[in-house]
Amino acid sequence: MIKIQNLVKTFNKTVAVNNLNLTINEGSITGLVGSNGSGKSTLLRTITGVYNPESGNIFINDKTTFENNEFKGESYFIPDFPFYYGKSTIETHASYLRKIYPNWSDITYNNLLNVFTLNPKAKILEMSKGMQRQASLLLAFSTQPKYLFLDEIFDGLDPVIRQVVKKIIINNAAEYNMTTVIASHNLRELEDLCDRIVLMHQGELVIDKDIDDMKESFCKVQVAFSDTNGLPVTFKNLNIFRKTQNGNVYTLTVKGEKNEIISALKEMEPAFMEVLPLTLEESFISEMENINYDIKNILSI
Amino acid sequence: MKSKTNKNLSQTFTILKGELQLNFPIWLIQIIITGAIMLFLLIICLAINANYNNTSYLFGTNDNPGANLFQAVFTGFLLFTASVFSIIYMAKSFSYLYNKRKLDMYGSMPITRRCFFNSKVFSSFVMSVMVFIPFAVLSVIIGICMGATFENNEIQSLILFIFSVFFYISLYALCAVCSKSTLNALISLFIIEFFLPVTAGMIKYFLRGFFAGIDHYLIPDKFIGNIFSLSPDGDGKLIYIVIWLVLSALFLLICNLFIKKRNSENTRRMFVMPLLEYAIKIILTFVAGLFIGLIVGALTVNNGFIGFIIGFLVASIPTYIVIHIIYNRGFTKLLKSSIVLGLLIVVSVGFFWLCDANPMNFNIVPNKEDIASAGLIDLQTPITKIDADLILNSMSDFTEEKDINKIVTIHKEAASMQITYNTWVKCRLALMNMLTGTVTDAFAGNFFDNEGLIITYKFKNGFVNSYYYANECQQIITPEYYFYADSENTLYNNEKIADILAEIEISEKYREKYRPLFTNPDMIKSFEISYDVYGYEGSYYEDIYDYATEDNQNKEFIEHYKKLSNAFLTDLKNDKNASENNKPFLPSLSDDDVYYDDYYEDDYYEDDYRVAYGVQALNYNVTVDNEDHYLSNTKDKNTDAPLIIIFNYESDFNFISDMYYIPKSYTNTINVLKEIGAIKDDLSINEYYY
Repeated sequence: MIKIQNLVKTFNKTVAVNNLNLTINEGSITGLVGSNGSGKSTLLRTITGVYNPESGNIFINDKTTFENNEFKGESYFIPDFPFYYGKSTIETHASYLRKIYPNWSDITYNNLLNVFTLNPKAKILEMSKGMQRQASLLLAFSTQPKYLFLDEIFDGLDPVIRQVVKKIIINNAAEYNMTTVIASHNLRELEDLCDRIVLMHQGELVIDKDIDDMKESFCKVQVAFSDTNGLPVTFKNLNIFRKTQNGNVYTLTVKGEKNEIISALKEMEPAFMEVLPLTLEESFISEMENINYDIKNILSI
Repeated sequence: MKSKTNKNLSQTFTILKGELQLNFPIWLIQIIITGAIMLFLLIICLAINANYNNTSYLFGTNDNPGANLFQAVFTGFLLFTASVFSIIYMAKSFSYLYNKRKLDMYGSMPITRRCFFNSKVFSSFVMSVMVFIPFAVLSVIIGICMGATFENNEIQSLILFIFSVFFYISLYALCAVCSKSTLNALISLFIIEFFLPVTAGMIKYFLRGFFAGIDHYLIPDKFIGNIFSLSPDGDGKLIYIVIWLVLSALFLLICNLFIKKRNSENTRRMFVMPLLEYAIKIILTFVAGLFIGLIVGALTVNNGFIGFIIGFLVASIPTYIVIHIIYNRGFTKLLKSSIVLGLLIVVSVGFFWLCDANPMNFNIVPNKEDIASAGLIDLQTPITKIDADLILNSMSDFTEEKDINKIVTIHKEAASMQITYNTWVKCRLALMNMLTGTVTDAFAGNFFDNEGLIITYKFKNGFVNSYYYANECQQIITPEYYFYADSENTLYNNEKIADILAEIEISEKYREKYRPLFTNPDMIKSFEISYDVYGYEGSYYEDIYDYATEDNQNKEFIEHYKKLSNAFLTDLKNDKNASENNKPFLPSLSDDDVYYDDYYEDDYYEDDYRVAYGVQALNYNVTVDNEDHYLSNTKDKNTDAPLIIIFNYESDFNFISDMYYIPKSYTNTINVLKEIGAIKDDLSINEYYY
């Protein structure tokens, strides 16, 4: 479990992370979302020990992570722009990491070379952006990390490789209890991967919720009424977050328990009623509105 | 603990391997360049060798110019290229501190910041010496095979480089940790490396201008210059190795403290840690302030002290501000950091006042009762090398009260001849010394006048002090900035000083410690017997060199020298009146017994400078009015006049002469001189050289 307590990280006068408290469970896959400059990358770098926080602590198994070689040996961080030396190939970089990371696995390395179909002798910097990302992931997984930190990892990956990566992460989480934190500004990428979402804005934590819990908080229903005589329908006793009307058809996003909402609507004797699936994005927006945040200013959707 | 150490070592070697792979093109270039130059020099030097002595190239003789040239030139070249490439390796190794992407990678790896940093230090050192050492060994082997003389200086330089480069890497590491860019770190390194020795030199010359009698040999500016030299000169080089290792350990300790705290992310300032910034500010501000302060002080005839303060402020404040703006990209925190400037001004002005007003009466003649032992060195004594060690050792030369009294008497006399200058004059003296000697003096070559006295005391309380008085005591400064020395009012012209000096210099203690006949007898090159110091009336001469012999040694000379020196030393030892017999007499203008020689006639001089006879190691310049004192044949004029024997020695390419009288009472010596044919039975010299 990663425990972050009262974390503050500043750059001169800019507060990048402001008194943040967060707990990341073992084996979870956490999505870290926020707009540019929200503090996602800073948080990841602080957790992985690249930055030293001004105040606060990050604990892993009751030890801080900064200068904690044991933790670093079991974790791997892929930043948004990973560094490689000019002449580095996958093989040369692997030989370097092999000596550094205690859990390095050549079996995993060779398997993943086949999965990603990369040439180990090719120079990494001469590869395309997507292939460089694949190389980073290959090397990361080969270290068999218990903690994996990824920053904008899906950027540049084709849909097929994205699915492959997601599958590997999920398998590792299930089999080896690998804890993953993925930073992204795009909710859609994280929808079918993460089990928890953390939203940051201007260095502060805004939302920290399980995706299932978030989805279950709201219910999206499409309902139609006949014989309204042109008058608008009022939905009493329902906590409606969003309502759109197309003639007699209403699409409602309602906060509350699903069965209760359906019962209440049935009492109104609609001509038609259907529960629609709520996307993560919609849940998220609703959640944001629930706490009075203007989502348009926060996320790129 | 052991496994942690093993792990750290394993990581260190992994990083080293990575660095070697990464820098492979650079050290390949270094090998090629060094090898090519070596081959080129070798060919040229072999050709010179072959041309010179027409012998086999290998196993040559001791005197092979080509071999010596190869060793000297290639050593210098090797040191130069190794230094240049070392800077490249250092700059590359520590560049990770300024690269955000590299820091992401290294920062998240399971290596502590300290271990990684220290591994970089180690890698820089290995890369700096791994090409250097094989070529150094090779050059020594080739040189020896070619018959080069075993030049200790060159071997020492090569060994010293290994330690000095480690010192430089440690210093650069400190600059790198404190800086925000490679360029800033390099500039900081060069500023410290250049300006610290210059500062030390400036302080030395400042003190020389302000304290009559201060001994500049003990002021360690040359010492500081040598610390920052890749190849220090002078003796006692082992001390530099110790200092380098100690300073390197200190720098690396500071680096290890800083590296963990270093937060370089997104800082606008050029220094991440302020230590270096303040060090550079202080050095440069002080240099500028002192220099301009002295100029204004020298111009302010009415009040040099106020002038110095004005000049110091005018130079130091803008210098400090400019450096602050450059390093901070603006005026951020200028007011806060001005505390340092304020302190610097207060300390510098206070230091100036202390030196000018001398409230502690520094450098006055001490009381005899406080002195435990004393020593005196006359700079005209042909001592092979005068340095701080020699001066310090001289403090124990004389322990008897009568000898100490003699030295104190000389000291009092010399001190009384010094005039007390106004502040503006002292500023001028200091400036002139600085302008002529600062840079060269700080880095290379001992500066010493070949006339003057150094007096050293060890006091009963354990304190040691040393004083230096130039022969020309009064240096006159005119308002038109013209500076010249008063050549009449000199130490050696002072009768009291001259008499006592002669007694001291012929005494057993002094002569056996300083005079080459006793200290360097094996370095003899020639001797001559003469009536006068320049041999103008003829002299008998023998030289060690002989073209005719295979080894170029004149065996007869060696035999004659051994006999002669043994006989002379016996006579000298038995001479109860040695100080009288070897005492120079001052010429009197109207004394016909005094023999002069018109050796220096020049239209530029109003008077002729005549050299008086009877000088053992001191030259007396006496100005006479264009009287034509004709020097007749001395052997006819005065057969009672003692002969002079001059032994000539060679030391470090310098020729030094040690001269003594041979009174008639030195029968052993005279007998040997007759035996070898130098003199006739009537004591006149047998041969004449003109």
